[in-house]
Amino acid sequence: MRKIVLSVVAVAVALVVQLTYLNGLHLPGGGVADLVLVMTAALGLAGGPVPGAVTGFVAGLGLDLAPPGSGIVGIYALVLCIVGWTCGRFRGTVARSALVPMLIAAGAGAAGEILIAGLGMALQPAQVSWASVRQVLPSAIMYDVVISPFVLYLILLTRAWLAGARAPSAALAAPGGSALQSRQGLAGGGSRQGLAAAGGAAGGAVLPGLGGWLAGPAQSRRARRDAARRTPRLGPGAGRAGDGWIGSSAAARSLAGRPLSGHALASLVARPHGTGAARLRSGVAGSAAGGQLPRTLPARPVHLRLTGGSRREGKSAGGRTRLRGGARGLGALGRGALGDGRGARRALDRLGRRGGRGSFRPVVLTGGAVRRPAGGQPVPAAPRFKIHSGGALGGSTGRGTTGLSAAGGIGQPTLRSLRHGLGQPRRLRMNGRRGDGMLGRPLTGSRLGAGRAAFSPAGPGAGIGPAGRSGPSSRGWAARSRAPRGGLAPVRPGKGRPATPRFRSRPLVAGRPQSGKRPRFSHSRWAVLTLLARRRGAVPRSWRRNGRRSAAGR
Amino acid sequence: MHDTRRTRLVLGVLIVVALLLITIDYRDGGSPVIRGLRAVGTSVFGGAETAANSASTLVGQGQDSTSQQVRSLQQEVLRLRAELSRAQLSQAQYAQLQRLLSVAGKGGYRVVAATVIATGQGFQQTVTLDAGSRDGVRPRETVLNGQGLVGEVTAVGRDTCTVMLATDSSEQVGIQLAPGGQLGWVTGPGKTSSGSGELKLQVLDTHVTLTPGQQLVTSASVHDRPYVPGVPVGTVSRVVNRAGALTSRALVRPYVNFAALGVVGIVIEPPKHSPRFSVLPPRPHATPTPTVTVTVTPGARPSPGSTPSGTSPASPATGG
Repeated sequence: MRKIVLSVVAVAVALVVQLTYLNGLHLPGGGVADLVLVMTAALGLAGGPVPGAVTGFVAGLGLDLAPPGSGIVGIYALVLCIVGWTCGRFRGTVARSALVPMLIAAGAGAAGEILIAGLGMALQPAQVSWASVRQVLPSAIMYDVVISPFVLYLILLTRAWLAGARAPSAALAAPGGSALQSRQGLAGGGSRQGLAAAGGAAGGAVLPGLGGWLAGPAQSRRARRDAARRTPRLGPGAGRAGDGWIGSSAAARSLAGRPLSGHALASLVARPHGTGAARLRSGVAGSAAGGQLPRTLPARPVHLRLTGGSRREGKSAGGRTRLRGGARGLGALGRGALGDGRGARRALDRLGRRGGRGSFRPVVLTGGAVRRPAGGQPVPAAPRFKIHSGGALGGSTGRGTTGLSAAGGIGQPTLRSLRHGLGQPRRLRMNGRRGDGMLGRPLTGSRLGAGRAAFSPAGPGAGIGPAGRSGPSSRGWAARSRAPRGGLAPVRPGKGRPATPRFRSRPLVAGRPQSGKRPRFSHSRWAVLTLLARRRGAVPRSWRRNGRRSAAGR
Repeated sequence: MHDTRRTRLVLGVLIVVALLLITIDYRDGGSPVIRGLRAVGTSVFGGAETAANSASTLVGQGQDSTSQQVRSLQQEVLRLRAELSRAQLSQAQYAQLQRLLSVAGKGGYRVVAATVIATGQGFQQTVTLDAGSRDGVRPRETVLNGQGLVGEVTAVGRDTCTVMLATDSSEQVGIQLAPGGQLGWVTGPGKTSSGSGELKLQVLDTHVTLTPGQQLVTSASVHDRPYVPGVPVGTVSRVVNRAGALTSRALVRPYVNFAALGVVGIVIEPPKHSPRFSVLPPRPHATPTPTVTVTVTPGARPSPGSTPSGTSPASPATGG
């Protein structure tokens, strides 16, 4: 809602400023900057294709109809709609780079000017002559290019500010979430690779469209620090082509069929020369082994232990939030985190007892399991989510916000945010869209009884698979129907139909994900504001391997 | 929310709507759909522009004039101030208004004073004025300022009106050459890099000799719409005759500085008699240059150190 208000206000201000002030300027070259066009490009880059297209259409219609307008109605609406859409398609670049969105905005400004001039020449030859276009167009493009970075920066900053003012959970969307995360020291220490696999892969993805380097700090320095504390290590990620999953690398394939011990699996992922470099800001949360396309599902359930350590959450001792356990402890965590539940649990307990420095609340997500009937196709089991609360770490009365995102297997739903405190009613929010399922019935606030939940879709026939694509192999998702109490209850978004949980995932045919975008590992690209980032202590890290990119961290 | 069927549907619908609007407007500019949309846009954005403009001061150019006639018009200025419903006019606007009123008084035009509050987008050479149908403005009326012809009212809202400037390349103004009264027309250059380009003049009489510096006024349109007679347009700056052309062509430098439009007047009542060329500013005459001729009287004794005695009286001669 706030984003809509922001778009409306931005467009209205741009329109009035453009018509009353900018167009009256007589700058060298004859052209003036088209603020509305650049604003549309920035809003598209920040908001996505559909908001961009709608914003552009409305803004263009405003330009067509506002009083001095004498051109043919619809030209600006058409051009700005296309510009907004196209920029929206590049929304993902905002979180990854500073330079690329600037270039896209500048290019959009130039292309929009050319399109407008071309349409004017075609449709209004009496008003728009080639001589005028030739004289005015270069300077107009130049002014657009000049103002586009500032407008883009302003829009991103405002959006980040709005998101930051909305809720503490917006720390998820805090600028440079990955950088904050790396600052928290999770990825520090000797076993950086392994932990980066666990934390970086899962938490590296920044919520697209909200942050990025351009957006800068959300609020004050203090607010940024708070946000950093609250920023979970795991963020929701968007699937990209080529992403890998844990246990799905080539090495893991070779071991398929054998039950992998946690250590073996972790070492597969963590080994620098093993399966592929794990990088920050990789796509799908929980995807750790990069470079390889997933061929198989994990041979057994993968337990992801996600640390949601923030100050206000359960804590055993009043220590620092940051993990400073050192290489050994982190290594243990790293291995445990990717291994089976028990080992990780032990590792966490070890770490937790050691002076109470790290405050972990282990959360075990069990999911993506594939059962292999003898001689049959692998059948994906219903994902189960377990929230482990106990040990020395339980008993907090605080309430915090943690975003969780885990994908233990292909097509597993992503937990978007987990809003709970220990001993409090817990809410597990699925990747939120209208009609999605929720864990623990957040609307009514029922508790997750024993910290154990299973999916219970609305009906036995309701598939949790991808909407409209229910293959034979997606049967396994719609497995367990259970009483709503303590389980995954369907949420009614509106008054009408009972909601069916939808999980956007890919259909599995013969154990492989079909079609759709494949996740891909990407890394933080060169950022123009690296110097600024360095001063903030948020240097993007990248790993070089085999002479190309290796560990470049400090 | 990436690239799904739904998002493409949204884009498709929007593009189709835009194309539909373009088609409707291209085929029939006066269709009720477009007119209704424009009326909505005018009422919505016109108010916003007026509000935005009342806060800012316009940059205009003005000179202090000490004309007696202007002084006598100060009472009317005060009245027009109230019409403009502005608490305070800037110095530049005050000077512009004075000049406008002097022109209107000379030509016998009845004008409504207004200020420019918005400028057209892209290649459109249009401006919005803060006077509308409530002030008696109707479409197809002449707009002028203290220097000369500005343009023509094309659309009128309740509180705003849109003026197509004389520099728009789709605008043609019928003119008369100053001394002889030969008829012709000028066409706008469209948007140029200099902001205020030169108008293109064509005179129907091929035998007329166009000379730089010749002055132009508007000739009367039918029923004085859109142009009332006698409004100064500009001076011929360069003659570009072509052999064999049916018309004499020249470039005209407009009197009005279109880059700095401030206070303008909309002629809501044409003059009863054509003012002919009376509104034109005085043509700059060649000023006589005095020259001094020194002749030496034969037989005079040259006396070093003294001024020559045989100096004839200075005789003025016109030069240049």
